[in-house]
Amino acid sequence: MAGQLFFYFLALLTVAGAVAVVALPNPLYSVLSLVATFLGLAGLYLSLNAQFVAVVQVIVYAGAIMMLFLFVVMLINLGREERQALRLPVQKLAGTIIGLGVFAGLVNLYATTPLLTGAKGLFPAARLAEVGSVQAVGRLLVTQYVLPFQAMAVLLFVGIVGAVVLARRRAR
Amino acid sequence: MTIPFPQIHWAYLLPVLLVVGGAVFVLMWDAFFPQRERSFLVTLTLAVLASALGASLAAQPGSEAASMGGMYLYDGFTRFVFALILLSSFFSVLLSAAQRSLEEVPAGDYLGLILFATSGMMLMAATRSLLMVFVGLEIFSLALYVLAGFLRGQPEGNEAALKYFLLGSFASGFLLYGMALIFGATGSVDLMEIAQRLTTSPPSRSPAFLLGLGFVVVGLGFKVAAAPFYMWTPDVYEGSPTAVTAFMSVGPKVAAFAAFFRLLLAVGPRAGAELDAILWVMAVLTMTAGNVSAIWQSNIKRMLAYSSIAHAGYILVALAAVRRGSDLATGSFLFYMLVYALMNMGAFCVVVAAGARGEERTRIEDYAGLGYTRPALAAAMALFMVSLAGIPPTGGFVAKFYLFSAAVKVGFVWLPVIAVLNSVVSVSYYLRLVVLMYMREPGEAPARPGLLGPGWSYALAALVLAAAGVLNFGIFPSSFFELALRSTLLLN
Repeated sequence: MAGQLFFYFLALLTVAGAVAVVALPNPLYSVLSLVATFLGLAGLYLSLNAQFVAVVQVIVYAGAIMMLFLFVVMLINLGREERQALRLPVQKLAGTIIGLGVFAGLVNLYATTPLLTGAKGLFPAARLAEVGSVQAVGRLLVTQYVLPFQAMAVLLFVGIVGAVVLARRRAR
Repeated sequence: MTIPFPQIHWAYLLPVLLVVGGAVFVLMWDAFFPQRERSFLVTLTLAVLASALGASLAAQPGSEAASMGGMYLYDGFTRFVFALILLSSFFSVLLSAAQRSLEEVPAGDYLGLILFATSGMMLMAATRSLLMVFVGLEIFSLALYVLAGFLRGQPEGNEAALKYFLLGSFASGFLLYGMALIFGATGSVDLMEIAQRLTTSPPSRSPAFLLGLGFVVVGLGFKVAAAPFYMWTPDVYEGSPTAVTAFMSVGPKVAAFAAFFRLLLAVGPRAGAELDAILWVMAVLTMTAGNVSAIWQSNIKRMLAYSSIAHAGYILVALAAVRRGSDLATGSFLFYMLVYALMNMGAFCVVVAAGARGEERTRIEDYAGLGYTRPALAAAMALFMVSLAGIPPTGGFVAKFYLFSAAVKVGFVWLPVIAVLNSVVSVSYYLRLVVLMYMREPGEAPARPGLLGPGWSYALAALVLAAAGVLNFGIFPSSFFELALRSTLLLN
């Protein structure tokens, strides 16, 4: 029962934060609402026995990435007029309708499909509790997922090089 | 505690390692020795690509195709696709070296990003894991976003980069969401396991799976510029540097189509009628929209952009045939991409060579009378246009013939008919350029600019290679088509 209450609280936090991100007019408030969403997600991960993912979610997303967002929003520092110039009534209406349509579809999905528990991997819940999720994630990263892990390194490197190229281009 | 190390076939992985290592080396070399000449880095990049091509041709795919539990899969299909990707990168490096407006850009950054993009495409094509498909796609997409806006001080370039970036990220979101839904419905990201789950307990009818599949089709459809997700293509192709446009029009399409083929091989036989209808409609819309829009263009890069959309539509015909389990379709897809790479790269190379420092010849009107002022260049362009239109004795005709007959053999009737009708429409705008080059007096065009720049030898090499290939595949197609047919597609 307590677990369920916990879930509903976190789910509410996540969804309310996400709605606030798109609904609030001030970008600064949007970014801060995103923090609430990320924290709610971290809590959900925690309740799913994924402690490591939860901690990473807080450190990387709620910490580092939100920091960058705030930096950018504050550096650009949009005035009130520029924000109002971005009113797109038709797109807003279309977006709302399509969004609600997708939402209805997903609710329908949830109601009609039997949920799968997923494949039984190397680390079911009991084993996970035994070894701890940091170890489990670490082992998977250097065994089964070693190629995506390395490819992500290339991806990050490309991102850094691209940012440097764009920044240097402007400086000259 | 022992950690079982995954099985890795290093000989199969070598082409990718060479390209990634080469990218880092080129980047670092330019950072440490910036005073060296640009031609040295170009030669180095070409050598890296050639050695990777050699390594992938030397690695005969055996029975042990899968490395690291299917994260990396090296079969005959992978080998052929690697050759296609490396060939298109090779051509775009030649074109970049020949393009005069790219002379001032930092060569190490530029060539490094081209190599990184190449490695991403290779990783995307050589896997049966949806995870690697996504990571590979992101690697080459990020590199291409930057390459699109590489020329500074050009508003069109900045527009192209921003448009490509925003729409591309949105499409990536679709792709990832779709993969997550497929994972939710089947419990795996491995295409072979997904195929097994679909046979044993059929969640193929489950709405979650179908929705996920639909989202993945949207994401991949964006990358291959299929209708209705092609709106970004003309603007991005027009604004990017021509050599990068040439790269975009071949490499990413090969990689995304390769992933598409593997996906369809896994889920196709079991996710029947819906997919059939989607692919049918997409193919017809894509080729018709591309061909009809191309007629009205006055900018040659935009015309070639719409032409590449139309060609994506023809390839979707092969995709629909693969869904029905046609082996012939896989081989004809590979052969088509080979010919398409050569003729498209050749056409862009003429655009590069016709330009001069500071002013590119991008208006179609600029090509009036080229047959008199630059006869060799005009002859090459005419050859590529005839091939793109699919007229014998060029490779374009043979490739289209194989592709459409594969569709006929699996029972499609209207799809090949519509495709052939579309080819007829396409003749009008391809040949309009030829007519313009030979039947019209040259305007007040400047006397022989261009080719005399320092990069002329690169342009010449690319032109000769492309023209020889297009003619060779038109007259003696059988040996390469046999090779393409033997490049079978595996999941395990």
